[in-house]
Amino acid sequence: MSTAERPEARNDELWKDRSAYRRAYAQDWGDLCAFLRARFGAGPPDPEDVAQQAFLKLGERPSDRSLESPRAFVFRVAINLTLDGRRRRQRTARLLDASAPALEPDDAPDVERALIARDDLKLLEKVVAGLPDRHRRYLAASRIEGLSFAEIGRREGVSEALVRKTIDETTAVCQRALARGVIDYRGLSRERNRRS
Amino acid sequence: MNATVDPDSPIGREARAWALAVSGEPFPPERSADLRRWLDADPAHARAYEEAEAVLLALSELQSLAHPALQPRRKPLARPAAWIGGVTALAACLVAAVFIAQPPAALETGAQPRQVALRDGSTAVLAPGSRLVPASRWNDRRYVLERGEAFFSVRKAEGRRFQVEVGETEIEVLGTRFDARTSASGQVRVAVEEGRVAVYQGEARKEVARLAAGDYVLVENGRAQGGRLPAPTEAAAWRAGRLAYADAPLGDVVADLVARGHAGLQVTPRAAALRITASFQLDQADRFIASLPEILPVSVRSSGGQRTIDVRPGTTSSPPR
Repeated sequence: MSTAERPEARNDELWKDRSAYRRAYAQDWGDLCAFLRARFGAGPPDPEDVAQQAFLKLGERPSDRSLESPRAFVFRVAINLTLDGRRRRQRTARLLDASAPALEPDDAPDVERALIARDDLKLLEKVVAGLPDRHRRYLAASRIEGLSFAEIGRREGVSEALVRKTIDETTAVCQRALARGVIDYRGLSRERNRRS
Repeated sequence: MNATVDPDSPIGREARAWALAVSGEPFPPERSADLRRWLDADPAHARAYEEAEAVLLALSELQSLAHPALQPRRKPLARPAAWIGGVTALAACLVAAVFIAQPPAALETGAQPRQVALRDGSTAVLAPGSRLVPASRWNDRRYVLERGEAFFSVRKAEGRRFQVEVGETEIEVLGTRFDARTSASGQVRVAVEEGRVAVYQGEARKEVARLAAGDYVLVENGRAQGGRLPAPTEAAAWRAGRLAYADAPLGDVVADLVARGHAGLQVTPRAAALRITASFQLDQADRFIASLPEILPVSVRSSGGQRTIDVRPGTTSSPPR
């Protein structure tokens, strides 16, 4: 039976009820905490608290959603939670300091940069809409389903290196579009290069 | 001029490679350590990495990427409302995560005790004059008892620790019923009715006690002293209207009585330092106060609505132990 035709009874199953959840917890907990500590420092927010929250979120998700790999999910949720927590703290700090002159003039742009503005999201929608099919497929497998490059390679019958290269190219197009405001698909490799 | 790092520069390319590795490759702690070293090497590294990371995060929330099936029928870009209103399942989950993480609200009591439901499904009964604060927006099983006393019924939650910070002391449990008290003097008492409790002390989190049902520990100035309750149900005798103290400063007893409505009661600093071991029904508090001169070298002076407890003239000011 394919994963697409799960029995009805399992539709309301949550991630925490799956054996894969405990496995993910055991495998990814340490990696995630180490990463959060490396990326953001000791906090606040406390890396372990954030990791805890991310796994809770995973556990409460219905397991029949288009999320195949929990690792990318908890990493992404944890990064978002930390960024959000930092933004709030900075905002609060600024409010408390309202009576004093701004101490760090480049504080505000920093906060803004952390948020992808609504216009930028629209621009990214446009970039994705114009991508070659393979590039969009790999990107969705990575960003939406949370598959690793190796898993995408296995599914698509291509090398992990090609998956990485394809997603790297796509990300670069997005970054250039955001930096320069122009969408330019040159530099994307052609479909015919596909091998197995 | 522009703060953005050129994504095609060597730094921009390397930053993107790092961000992609985090999202799509095994990332053991050794790699995290390498990443930290790279980020620290140059402020531009960190900036470039954050930019690549932000783009990858944003891509995860794109409607057109999550639902490519909608694409061939009609260009979704012609309907901007479609992506504003139609949030993807993953994005919705993220939003939920952020909403749940609201600023912690303090739980406080006046002259009456109060039972409160904690966010993780556990409950706490707060004694009068107490204040309990969630310690973290991110963790619904961590609290700070800033003032007073609380009795916790902790629900088991898949091995997740439940933690209460009381001054320098930290209490940690999995699922149990226990009482925590912080006194005006800074003395902390933990008593267990059911289950097991670990008590840690100070910055280094040194374990000072491991308690089972019926055990209690007093922590004062970093020193812990354990003992047995007459019965496990005595862990929070205050809930049955009884106050019990073992080797507590008289000032703490007075503070508890004031918090419970005996507003006119005062104690001089010298008398507050005296130690007392006592147990009495709250509704007998006036008799208890009147009997204090029989237990301790103190006098109780009444004037107007005020009662002041002071050290009896002629006795030494150093508190007997």
